[in-house]
Amino acid sequence: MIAIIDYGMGNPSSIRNMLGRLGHRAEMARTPADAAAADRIILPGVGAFDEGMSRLGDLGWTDALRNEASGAARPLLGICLGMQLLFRSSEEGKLPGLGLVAGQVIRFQFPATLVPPPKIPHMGWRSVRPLAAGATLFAGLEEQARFYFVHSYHCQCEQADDRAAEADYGFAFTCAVRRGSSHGVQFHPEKSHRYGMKLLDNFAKLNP
Amino acid sequence: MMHPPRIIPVLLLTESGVVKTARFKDRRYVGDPINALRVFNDKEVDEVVIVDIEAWKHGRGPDFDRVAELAGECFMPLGYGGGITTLEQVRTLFRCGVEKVLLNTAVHTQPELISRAADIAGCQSVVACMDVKRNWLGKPRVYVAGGTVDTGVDPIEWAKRAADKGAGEIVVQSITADGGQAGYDLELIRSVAHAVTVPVVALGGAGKLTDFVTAIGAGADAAAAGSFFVFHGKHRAVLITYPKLDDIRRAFQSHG
Repeated sequence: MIAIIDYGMGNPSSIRNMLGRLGHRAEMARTPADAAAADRIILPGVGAFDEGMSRLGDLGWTDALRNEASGAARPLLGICLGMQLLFRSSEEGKLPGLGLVAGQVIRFQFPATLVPPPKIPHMGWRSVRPLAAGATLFAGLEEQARFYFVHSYHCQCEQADDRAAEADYGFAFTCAVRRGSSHGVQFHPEKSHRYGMKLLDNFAKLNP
Repeated sequence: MMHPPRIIPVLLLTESGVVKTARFKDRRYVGDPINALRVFNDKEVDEVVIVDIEAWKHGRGPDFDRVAELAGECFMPLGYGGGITTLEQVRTLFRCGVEKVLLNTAVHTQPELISRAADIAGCQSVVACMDVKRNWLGKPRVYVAGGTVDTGVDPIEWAKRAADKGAGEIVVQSITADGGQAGYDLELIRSVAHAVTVPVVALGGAGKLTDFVTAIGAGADAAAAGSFFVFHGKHRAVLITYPKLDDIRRAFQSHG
């Protein structure tokens, strides 16, 4: 069973519906106790960094996810804000992130030589280039895969081999990450039709 | 290969189902929204917008249960507009699974709602949607309250104000062109797109695939339409549809 963290940052029902269509059972988990029976966890999220962290903290998820990552962790997939929360900090907020991935979340900034400058937020469909760390999550998605993005901030890994995929928006930015059992995608697989379905299916079948 | 710009169907929701208007009037019943969304899932639509055109009129605000039901059916991004007047409604809409909220009348009556909504959801999720009619001098003016109240505000001024408040995207809808399928008001789109740095979405008047291309050529970042996706043929039979990605690509390659 897959637990989808329900902490009030966006409605994860389309994630559950998409997993359901794929034949994977998923349930909403408000607290870590709700996810006790799950063999993997999805951290979705739409909204601001600090609001996300403070809600995770209030519900006991911050400690639970950090503790879990230091031991025999279940596969975790952060989606959109959920990916950003995996990092140590964000320019969008003051609160520290979960710190499961070394790096930070920064606002898009483009060199003055880019005319006209790309618009912020970055919104729309974009093709994605999987990297070595994304081999499992992006299996079968090497060619022509496209995903839906909505974000103003992007993640910057300290360790290059944590980068699982990149996409271009003014420059190549990290759009997926993997550190141990923690995965993150900046785009919305649940809103990306068959490409997102494939990615969620891959996640649901990852070996813990 | 680069993905072409977003092409967005807009569904007008009423209590009896989806309708389509012309010049904001002459409603015609189009069908059931769930069915339409499933067609759009199958056709791999870029993004869809649902506007509840009765939410405002009846003063009841968004029907959250219905929005949540529709959002759960969408394997594509969903924007919702209609009857949004409070921050609590915005919060609830995001919890319902909407990616973006569209503000229209509220942009005029309480512009602070834009900033407050952007604070909780990020500006990329807050869309200011303007309905524009040209006056007898041909000057464009922004209307609110379902196209019934002339604010007297120029679209450029309105767009700048909305973007300053934190709107992450601006939909420019021509009331005059609504339902006519005779092409967008390109001059309007051009003037707004050049005045703001946030993405601009053209709406109102698309009748053929190349209309999307000309809207993008005029500076829009995305093109939206209603009739184009729900009517078919010269007798305008109801048929929910969406062009194939290859056809969209070809249109942008040969005309773009």
